[in-house]
Amino acid sequence: MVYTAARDALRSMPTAIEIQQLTKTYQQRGAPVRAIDGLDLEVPAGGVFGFLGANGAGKTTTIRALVGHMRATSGTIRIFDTPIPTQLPSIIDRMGALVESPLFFPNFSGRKNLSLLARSRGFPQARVDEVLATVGLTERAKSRFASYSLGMKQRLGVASVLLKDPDLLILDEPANGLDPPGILEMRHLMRSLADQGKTIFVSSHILNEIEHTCDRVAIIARGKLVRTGTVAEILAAGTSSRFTVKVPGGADQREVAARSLLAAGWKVYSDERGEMLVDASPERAHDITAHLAGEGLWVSELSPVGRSLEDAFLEITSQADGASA
Amino acid sequence: MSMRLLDTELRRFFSRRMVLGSLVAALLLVVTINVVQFIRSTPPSSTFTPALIPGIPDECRVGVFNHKPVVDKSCVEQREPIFSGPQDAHGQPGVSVYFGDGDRRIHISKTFGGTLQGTGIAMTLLSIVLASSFLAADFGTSIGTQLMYEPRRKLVYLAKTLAVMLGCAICVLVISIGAGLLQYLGSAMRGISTGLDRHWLWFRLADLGRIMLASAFAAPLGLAIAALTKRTVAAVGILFGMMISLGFLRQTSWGAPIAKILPINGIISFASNQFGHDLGRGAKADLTSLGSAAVLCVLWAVGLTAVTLAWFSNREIR
Repeated sequence: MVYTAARDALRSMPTAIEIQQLTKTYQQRGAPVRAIDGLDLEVPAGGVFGFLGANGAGKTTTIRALVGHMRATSGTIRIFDTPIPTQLPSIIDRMGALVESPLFFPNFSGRKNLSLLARSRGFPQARVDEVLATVGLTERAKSRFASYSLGMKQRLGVASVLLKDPDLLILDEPANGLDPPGILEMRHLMRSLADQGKTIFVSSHILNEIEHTCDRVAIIARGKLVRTGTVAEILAAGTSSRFTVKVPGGADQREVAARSLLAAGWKVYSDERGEMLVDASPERAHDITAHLAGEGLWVSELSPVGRSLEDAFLEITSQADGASA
Repeated sequence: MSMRLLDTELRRFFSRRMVLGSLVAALLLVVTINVVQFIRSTPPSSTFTPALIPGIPDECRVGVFNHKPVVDKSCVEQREPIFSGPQDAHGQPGVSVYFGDGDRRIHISKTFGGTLQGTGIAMTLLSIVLASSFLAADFGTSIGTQLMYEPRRKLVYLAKTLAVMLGCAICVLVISIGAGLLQYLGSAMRGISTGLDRHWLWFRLADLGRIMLASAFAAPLGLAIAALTKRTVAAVGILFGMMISLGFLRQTSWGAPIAKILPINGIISFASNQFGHDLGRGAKADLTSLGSAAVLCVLWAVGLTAVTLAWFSNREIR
């Protein structure tokens, strides 16, 4: 397996979440549909763990199984070495989750909603004000939940997770509806919680956020794990890299060079500034200069373009889709 | 069961606008009715002639109007003839006396029992609406978040069931006490406030307890049907529909046994304390006692709650 090394490294670390051969099959118009298909996943305790996948990959279904909202068809889940969902009540105070959109009673204020949750577990009411302040909702605490903006609802959802001061936070798209400052705050919040030793399991489609926030990530496609590791490992795992190629002589010469590379089978793109970009593995980068030199075009610059998690994600998931097709 | 959970659910119940709005509306209605009764509270149009006064027992004298005694008609009627006026040849009273008809004064010892009797079914139906909307509102919104704090679903559902039973009974208590207090005030200020003895109090407490129990029986039915159908309107529609169909079912030979065992029949019979609907064929096909109504209510409440518990425990939460 591609991620054997990462898995071996994980075995020496305490595990927050351990999923083995998880399967969830739905009946859709009489036909079985596998939302999760033998998923294996280990999330080490501590740090921010990104859970990535395209729409319909099985992220939310997995999270719903983790928090006991849904029973898996087969497979096992253990959180802090406790079987889920059978022993979920024994560790419920150690975990908090925000699944999909925040769910609160619309006609109660944000404070009332949190206050009822706190009361059900015997948490002090002062803790409610504390978490409302943490997510910046103190001023609107007495407003009805229904009157909140999407971002404010999301903040209240996060506050409900923080209320228990859990060791494991499961956040499904926590940046949904947040404005840029809100997203930045969320990033800082996740990092500071991780620095306190907590485990944050976050699913998001904002890959830039994941890249800047997470220590480790797992990528799933069609209900299966396709890659897991540190962000650096995921970025390095791609089969191709992208290079900026510059030739002297302006746009005309660049056009000639691009046509020549395309004719030779290279993948050539243009970025927003008009610069020529060429996909090539690092080992074959020198072939670009050799080819252009053969055409009488001299390369003035050949530099690698920083690869983002988005690039890696798209490449990994497209490979997984191709393999399963 | 965790008392903390029950306390939370009760608070959730009484924080709902629908519950508070219904309570306020019911209390406003009580105030309005009592204000009208207060304004209309006037003494009888006829009183006794002085000649008869010595024959009236003291306990039947309930006041004075125009310097003449006012007599409680029912009190006098329960006693031997008291007339001491001139008699005819047959020894019957020669004076025609009109015993206080037209007496519109508030008289709590006579009217409060009727008030409880009259409002019992209405308050039971209100309980069905409040209970049905409670869980449907939860399922549509915050149940997923609640389960992140207490994942034992059976416990959560039982706490909600107990909370709506208690909540609805408390609503009945508040409304009834409100009505009782206002009737007492009206009686004391502008009516008749005698007859409030220990017996009366026990009977009224029994009436009140019966209506509170009927409301408490009705609540889990509304709750369970709303949970199973995921719709408040379905629960209210099914139970109210049953109530409407009772009259029709009782008229048919095949429908009468069905009507007898319908949950709404048990609840209404229990709330109204009226039994033994005679089908005109010499057979009593309806419930015949408070005990049988209570058993029917309990069986339905426990049965539907058990079914809903089993369903809710395995339901996928969105």
